[in-house]
Amino acid sequence: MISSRLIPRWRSHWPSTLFFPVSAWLCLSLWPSPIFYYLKSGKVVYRNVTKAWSKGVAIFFATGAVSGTVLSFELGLLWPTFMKHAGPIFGLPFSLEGTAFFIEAIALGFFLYGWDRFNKWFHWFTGLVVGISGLVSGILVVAANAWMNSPAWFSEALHMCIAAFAATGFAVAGVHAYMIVRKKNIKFHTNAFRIAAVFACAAAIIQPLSGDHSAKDLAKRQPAKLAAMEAVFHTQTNSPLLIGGIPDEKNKTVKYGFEIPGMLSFMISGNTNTEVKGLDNIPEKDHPPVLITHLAFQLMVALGMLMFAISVLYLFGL
Amino acid sequence: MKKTQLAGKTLVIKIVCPGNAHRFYCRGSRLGCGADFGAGIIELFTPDKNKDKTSNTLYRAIGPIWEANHMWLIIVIVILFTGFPEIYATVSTYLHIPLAIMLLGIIARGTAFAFRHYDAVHDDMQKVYNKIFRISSFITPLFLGIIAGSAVAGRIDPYATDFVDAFIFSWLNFFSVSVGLFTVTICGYLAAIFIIGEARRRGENDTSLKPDP
Repeated sequence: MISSRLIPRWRSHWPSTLFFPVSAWLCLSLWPSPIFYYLKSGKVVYRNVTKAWSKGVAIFFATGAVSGTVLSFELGLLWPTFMKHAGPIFGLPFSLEGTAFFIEAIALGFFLYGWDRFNKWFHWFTGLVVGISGLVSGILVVAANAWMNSPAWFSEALHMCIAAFAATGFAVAGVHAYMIVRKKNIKFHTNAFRIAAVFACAAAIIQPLSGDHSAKDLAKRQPAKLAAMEAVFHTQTNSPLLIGGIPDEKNKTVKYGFEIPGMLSFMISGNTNTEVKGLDNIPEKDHPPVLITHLAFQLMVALGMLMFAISVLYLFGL
Repeated sequence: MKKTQLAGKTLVIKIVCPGNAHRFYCRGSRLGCGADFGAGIIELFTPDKNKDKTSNTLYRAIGPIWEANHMWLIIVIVILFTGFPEIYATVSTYLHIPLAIMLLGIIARGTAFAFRHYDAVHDDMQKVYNKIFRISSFITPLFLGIIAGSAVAGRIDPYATDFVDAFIFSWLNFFSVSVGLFTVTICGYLAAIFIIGEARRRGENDTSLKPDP
């Protein structure tokens, strides 16, 4: 049987393989909104926005479909022994995800080729189906990954889906902002920018809440991962929150870091006196890599905070 | 005692593996992507004069559905690893070379198709995309057929000690390659039938696949 020690190693490869399809699929959920605008107000500019975005979606979806095919083969090519044991376990979420993707593909065909051919409400409905099934398939594919962490698919899927909304929203808004700066077709790009920015900002503002939920979940279920992410080498109460810093795994110290006293304990339990389990609490042979985990986590938090700040400025400052 | 048990297990793999793998792979290729792969194959063998017209007709017929068709392949694989994980592991271990080539073909095909139709700019890259699409449409079903053929023939030998025996001759043999070529022709045939309707609707029922007089 699979030894429990080996699972984390497989797990660590997963997110990279999954990232592209998830982001590609979820970008779909962005665009029922312009269709809604277009049908409601009948303004041509929203129709143009929708058409422009659907071109991008078509390319993303096509590459997402092929990378999804490759992914399902890759599981066997890269980890045949793992799949022999675990195949039936995540076959269920994976096949549900496949079904959602199937519905999405059919609805996308209707939507892309159905302009002016269907009743407009039916056409709008197909767009809606694309968005919803995109979201569902994103949730399910994260769930297929999450069973390896612990049965915590909800917080992982929530965090991942909001992240995908924020990331794709900011990317789309960025493209339009660039075109506005270059003074090309300003009216069109301003409208498109506004829709994308509102979606992205809403997602970026909610994201820290879901991150907080995930952190509390993590402290309960996977203390080793939390310790690696925050570079906590020694178990202590009133544990500080580390910002930046380069962990030294040999000497079990952190250089150049900035610490906020008691903050980590407060974040995981709401009380600064809570004990946070450090890596000394975990057998040496089960230690996760600290340096890369810590740096990647810090980068993620920094980007999230940057997006959060920009969103607050945009929504409330202007 | 141990030896017989092991032999029995391998025998089961050998008997079950070809039957199911064959059924699943073939169903996937025939029902689903057959017509799509065939589109590229027909384009590949169309004379240069008519290539644009053919590819236009094919795009109109295949464009709206090819992504949904691709899902068949994913669903087939998911069924395979959920229901028959050992077969999936065996096939993907011993046939990893044709599988990898097939996957490269799938990626090249899908992205080339998307970029040549949805790209914002139309320039010389379109010709490159066209070429990639046609060639990979030929390669992908060829290797899909080779995989199916070698699974059916029971060529996978779990006792092989040599790299060449285990990973090359398991698929590189007369039977497998001929099954591969057979799959290519089936796909072309399916696509040819599939686009008759579209071609006729556009009033091109006689000229779309023949050179202009």
